[in-house]
Amino acid sequence: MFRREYLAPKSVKTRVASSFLLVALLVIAAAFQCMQPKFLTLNNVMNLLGTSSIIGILALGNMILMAAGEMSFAIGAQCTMCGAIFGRFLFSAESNNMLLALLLTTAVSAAVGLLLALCTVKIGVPTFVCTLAVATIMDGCSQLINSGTTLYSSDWPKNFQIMNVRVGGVVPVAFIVFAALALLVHIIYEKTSFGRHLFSVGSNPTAADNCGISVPWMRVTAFVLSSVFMGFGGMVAASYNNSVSLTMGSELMLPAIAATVLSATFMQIGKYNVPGVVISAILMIVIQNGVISAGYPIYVKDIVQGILLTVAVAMIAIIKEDGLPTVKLES
Amino acid sequence: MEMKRMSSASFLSKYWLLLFTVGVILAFGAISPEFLSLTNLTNILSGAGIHGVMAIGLTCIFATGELDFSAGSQVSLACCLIAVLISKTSMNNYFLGILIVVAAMIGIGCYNSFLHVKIGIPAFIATLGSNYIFGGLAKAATNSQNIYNLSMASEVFTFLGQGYLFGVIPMPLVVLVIVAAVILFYTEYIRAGKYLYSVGSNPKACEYVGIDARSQKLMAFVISTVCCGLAGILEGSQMNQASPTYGANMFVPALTAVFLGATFGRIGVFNVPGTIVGAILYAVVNRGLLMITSELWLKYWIQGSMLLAALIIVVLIKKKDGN
Repeated sequence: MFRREYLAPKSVKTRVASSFLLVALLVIAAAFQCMQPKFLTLNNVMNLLGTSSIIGILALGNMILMAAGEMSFAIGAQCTMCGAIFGRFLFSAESNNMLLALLLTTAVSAAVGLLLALCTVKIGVPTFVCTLAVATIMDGCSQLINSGTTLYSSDWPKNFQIMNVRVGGVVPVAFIVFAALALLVHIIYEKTSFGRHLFSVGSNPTAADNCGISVPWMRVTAFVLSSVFMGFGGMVAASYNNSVSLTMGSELMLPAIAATVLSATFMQIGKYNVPGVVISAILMIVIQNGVISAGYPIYVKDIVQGILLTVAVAMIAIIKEDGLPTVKLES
Repeated sequence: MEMKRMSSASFLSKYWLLLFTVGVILAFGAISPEFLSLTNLTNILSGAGIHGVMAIGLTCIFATGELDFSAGSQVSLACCLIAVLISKTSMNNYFLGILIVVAAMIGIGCYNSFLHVKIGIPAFIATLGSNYIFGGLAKAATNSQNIYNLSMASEVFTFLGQGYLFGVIPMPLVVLVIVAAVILFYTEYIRAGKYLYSVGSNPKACEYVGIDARSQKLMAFVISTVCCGLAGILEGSQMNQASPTYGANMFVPALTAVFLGATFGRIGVFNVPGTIVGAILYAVVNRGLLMITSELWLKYWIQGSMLLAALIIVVLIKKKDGN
């Protein structure tokens, strides 16, 4: 079905709609540049890219899950908890092995993914509410690990802030990590049979099952993979901010979901895709940073982001009949 | 004999949530006797009333199989709107304020359903966008600040949230009972209301028998936003202040109540009585844990594992019944 769409010449309307996100990014960035001449300096652009990589990594993980037709409410809690575990492990001067901390946090996040998969795929609890419950438990864990406040230690190893380091004094490491992960996910998602199976499970589970794809297995993999990404996002955020606050993840959750949803309006309409995730993650941060640096009150950011999201998806919904993938709510 | 045992088992599986709630209340009462005092119980019901009103609204939209992400910001918006109307404008008629807020909420419901029904954006995506917009508007109305001491502007302001009917029954509970009765009557005894559920359970079949799913969804969106608006008014009135962050904190409790509710009575179906029991259970656990321990993490753990356990039990019951 998608093969045919690629070959068929795209109509003008579709072309315009599918590049809306990029145009919006350029227009909005230019507008902020007019209001605040320092907006597009190299330093600030790199700052933007660095900040957007946290949302971007979370959105990549969320994309894997949403591509498989599931939706998680636990993104934020997972991100906070993994950041907290990472920070707590390195808390004292004696334990300063970053690699070990990375492995431990990744293992924990994979275990969370397995737990979610056990509850939803094996037992059959509806995903949305199951992730809600697990998110509450994980919030408790973060509270416990953080002792109820923002986690910070002066004994953290020097490399703790590695994500904030600029390679060659220009590009923040966080963005390089994000770009590498994005490339990896892009290749897996678009070029391998695994990625195609993932997409087919999400778009039509019955057909996928009839084709001999193991739907439960794909869902389990999606849960574990996306959880690992959330864990990674948490670690990058902890390192980038040089602290772990209790609301770190919950503030990032809605932008991450929004970035995933927006990605389905870019280039390949109706299919979540990695280039779309990258562009929308940057777009969300450009709006946030631009509104603040131009001196507007913060609510302008919310309204602009909301209008942008609505307009982008409305355009797609009007052009295409079955334009956007949806999530069915079960009880 | 066999049949009777079957029916008692199914009774248990149907109404265990209520029994569980009573059990939890007694357990908290055993641990700290003040828990069972009249003031404490009415306080719990007063809190449950506010979350319950919001959750009943969400029940209606969930019944149609759609998700309203913007519920939290609708609560904030209603709360901020009435606070601004009372304190910042020359109008100090509280009841006129309520009417204006309800009218605004109807408009918001229409906007959401316009995006979903007319333009065709999946509801959860459309409301994700509106969540940002309404949240932004709420912050814009109050300039991102809290508005304090609203009873100064209008004496009746705190009545709905803090007042008591006949000196004992908290007003939020009265509002909850009224809202629940209206919605229950609508969804159970009026044909148009029953369609809400049919649209959720089988949209294709609805199309074949000539039920217009779109008008049902419009109705559900409007009911949901009006209920959220009422919850916002109640919350502002109870706290005697307004903040654009109230809604975000109420969204998860309300969702929990709705999903717990789906494990009560008609199992697997979002239903109004279940939602009320769910809201009360949530308030009881919240309050009880607050009295016993000050450890926040323990509270989160118990809330989360309770919800998870409830869900797993229900799924297992359903599986057993199915076989």
